[in-house]
Amino acid sequence: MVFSSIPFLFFFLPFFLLLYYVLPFKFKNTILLIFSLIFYAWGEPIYIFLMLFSTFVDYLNGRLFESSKFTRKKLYLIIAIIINLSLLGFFKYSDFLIDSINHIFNVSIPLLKIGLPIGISFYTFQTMSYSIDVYRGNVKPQKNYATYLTYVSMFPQLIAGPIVRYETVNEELHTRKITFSGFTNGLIRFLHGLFKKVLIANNIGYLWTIVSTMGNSELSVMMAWLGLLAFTFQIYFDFSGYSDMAIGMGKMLGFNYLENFNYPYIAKSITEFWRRWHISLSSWFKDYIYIPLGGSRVTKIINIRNIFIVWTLTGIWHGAAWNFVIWGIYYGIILILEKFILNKYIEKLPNYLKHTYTLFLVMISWAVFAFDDMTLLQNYFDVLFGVGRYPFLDKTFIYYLSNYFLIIIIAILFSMPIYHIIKEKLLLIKNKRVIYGIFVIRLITYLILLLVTVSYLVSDTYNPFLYFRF
Amino acid sequence: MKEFYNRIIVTLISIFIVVFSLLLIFSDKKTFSENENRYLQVFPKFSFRNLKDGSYTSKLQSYLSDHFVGRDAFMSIKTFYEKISGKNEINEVYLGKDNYLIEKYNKPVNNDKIIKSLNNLYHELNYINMNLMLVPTSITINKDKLPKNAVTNNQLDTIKYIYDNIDFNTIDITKTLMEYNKKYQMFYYLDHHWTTYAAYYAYQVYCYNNLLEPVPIYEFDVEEVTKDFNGTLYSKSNDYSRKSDTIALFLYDKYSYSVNYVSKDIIKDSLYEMDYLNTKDKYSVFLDNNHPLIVVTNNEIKTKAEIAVIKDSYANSMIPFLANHYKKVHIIDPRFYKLSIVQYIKDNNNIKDMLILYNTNTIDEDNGIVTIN
Repeated sequence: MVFSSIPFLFFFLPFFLLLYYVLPFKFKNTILLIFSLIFYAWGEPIYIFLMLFSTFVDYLNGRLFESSKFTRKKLYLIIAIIINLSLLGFFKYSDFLIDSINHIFNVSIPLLKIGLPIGISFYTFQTMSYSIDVYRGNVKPQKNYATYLTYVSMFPQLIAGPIVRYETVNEELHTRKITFSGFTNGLIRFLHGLFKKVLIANNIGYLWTIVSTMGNSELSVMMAWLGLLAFTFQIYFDFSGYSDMAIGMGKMLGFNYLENFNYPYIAKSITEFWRRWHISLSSWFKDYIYIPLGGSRVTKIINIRNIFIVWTLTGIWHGAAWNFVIWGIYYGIILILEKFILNKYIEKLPNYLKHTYTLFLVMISWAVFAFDDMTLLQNYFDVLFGVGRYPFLDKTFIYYLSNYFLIIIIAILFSMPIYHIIKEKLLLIKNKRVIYGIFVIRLITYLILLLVTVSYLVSDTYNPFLYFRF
Repeated sequence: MKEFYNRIIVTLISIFIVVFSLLLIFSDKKTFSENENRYLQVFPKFSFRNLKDGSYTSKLQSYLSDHFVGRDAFMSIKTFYEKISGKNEINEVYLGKDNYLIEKYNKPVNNDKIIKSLNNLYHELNYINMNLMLVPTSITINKDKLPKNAVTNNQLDTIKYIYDNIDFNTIDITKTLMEYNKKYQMFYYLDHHWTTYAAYYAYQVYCYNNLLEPVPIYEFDVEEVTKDFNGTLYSKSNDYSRKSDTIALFLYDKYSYSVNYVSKDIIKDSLYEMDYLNTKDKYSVFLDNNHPLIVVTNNEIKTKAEIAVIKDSYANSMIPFLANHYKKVHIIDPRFYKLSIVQYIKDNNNIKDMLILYNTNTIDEDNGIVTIN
């Protein structure tokens, strides 16, 4: 089930929340677990057993740690990690591997054609972080399997993140405050995410669909850049909208997840961009791979090797295709360059050049990210940089620019912390009438946006989730 | 204070959601959407297999979207939002100037298959005087009504390509439609069909090409039978801000006809089914919507000549004119007629003329025509 759909918004969520709030505390985890399993089974009735198995492995691992000596613990941890990675590897990467082998050795091993279980990349990373944290002694193992399963399968974050670590919610799994203000703030946050997803991401994504399916002969240079800009906004509003919805629902249930996005497109360098984009993933790689490898407290060469490993893995985590590998390595190289050479020059640049530099590299990376077919990717780059061979500007560009102008402006504005700036300004106002006026305007805005959002969901023709298959 | 206001906002939003979910549960469920001209999703039957392959939940999701209370109103909200956000096309429909909604023309993919199929048909029936008429749609004739800067695929290229490769007579009506479009409306504002005027002038061109004398336009009694026709493009775009269409019938009292809807075994004495004028689907007033095979007999005419018309729905408004020149008009819609067309024509040995009439949009999407043999 996706959050931005009629069944979720009008049945699943209200019905669940009603039960959740009415039942006494000791049943709240149970009802959350039951609904999370229904939520998962809605889209993956079979693979739910895979998730149950995967969580059970790490749960068992945690229990075994309790009564083991240090050397044994290490063995258990290694076994758990091997099982986790094998499942992920088998279900996500086997066809990619077979296909690559077929190409390299010119053989034709048939593909397995296994469907990717929804959310497997996310929940595998969650369960692995649990095992490692327990091993390191950062958290106490969970004794109750149902509680542990509740943590992993909790529907707000189950299928598209953020990657919530066990230590973040450990206490809240047992004692959490469920308040009206949690519900209020959570619902408002949820709505922001819903609006970002439906009104901005889906809308501008339509432009990207048009451009990406045009042949090279129909494209102009500017049209290719307009399409790439559309994809740049689509992926941000889609994914961060999803995180907002997850964090908002977490709040409604009494859980406080960590933030996952912090206006990545206002970053002034790629290093900063990755501190602002998909934070739960980059910090996962940092804490569980980069630092154990020695991080930056090693020689330059080893440090470069470490960055390289982390970013190759980050790339491949995003999808089982070569373009994702290239995408990861691309960022790895830029981050190495920035760290050892570029940063001191970038610092001296005026701000607008820092932004231009960052956004340019980010947009290029999204082009690589968008095409898992290498020929299509090459063709697209051909147009992006093919001044001379392709028309620079054409009527089609002007037509689509005028059609999407307003939505692009809106996307630019909300890529910046404009909402927070305005909110802070408004909080300073003391005049009661003005405060009341603002309230009325907000109320009307929320209701109108909700009506428009529902109208999109009802028409339901264009509602894909970009990060759904990761 | 702010917290208090936020509580009011979320309370109202919660009420909104709960009210709509209750309405969705308890409202009467329609089975058919007139506006979209399709049957709505029925409540899916549960089975383990349906659940396993995901069809149960996806059908359930369509069911809930289809039966959402105020669905049509929500669709128009969406259109309104898209319009104010600057979109000039919705659901493959251009929001054109001067009240025109114009259907998009997608790049044709079946040209060669169509050519091959039609030429084959001709070689099997080479004793027949065969004519192909491809009608350009509003996107070509009303090019100047398209939104500013809109770039479209060129229908005239398609027509030229097909005509160049066809082994029998082809009839070009583009110029005629362009010319008369200055005087009369050749296409409906809100529907993808041509108007009766366009059908008349196309019929005139057919006559000139086949040495028949067309009935002059002044001999018809032109009657406007409805002024509130909201056609398919209106439904697709949900743009309710536009003026409805008028449908005109060109009535002619010299002859009487009998219309045999063969598959239904129904014989009527009129070319028009007036009951449709009370429904949304008003264009079906012409020969009762789509049928695999209709035979129209002119009761008084002296000639023995018969014609076969292989066609899409555009022909429906032109047949009343052709019926004044033939004893019988055999109307075959290959989308629905599943028997051999060649055999049918050989069996009716008075058929000496044939007209293949399609609009340039549907011919490419119609699998009937490529499997005609």
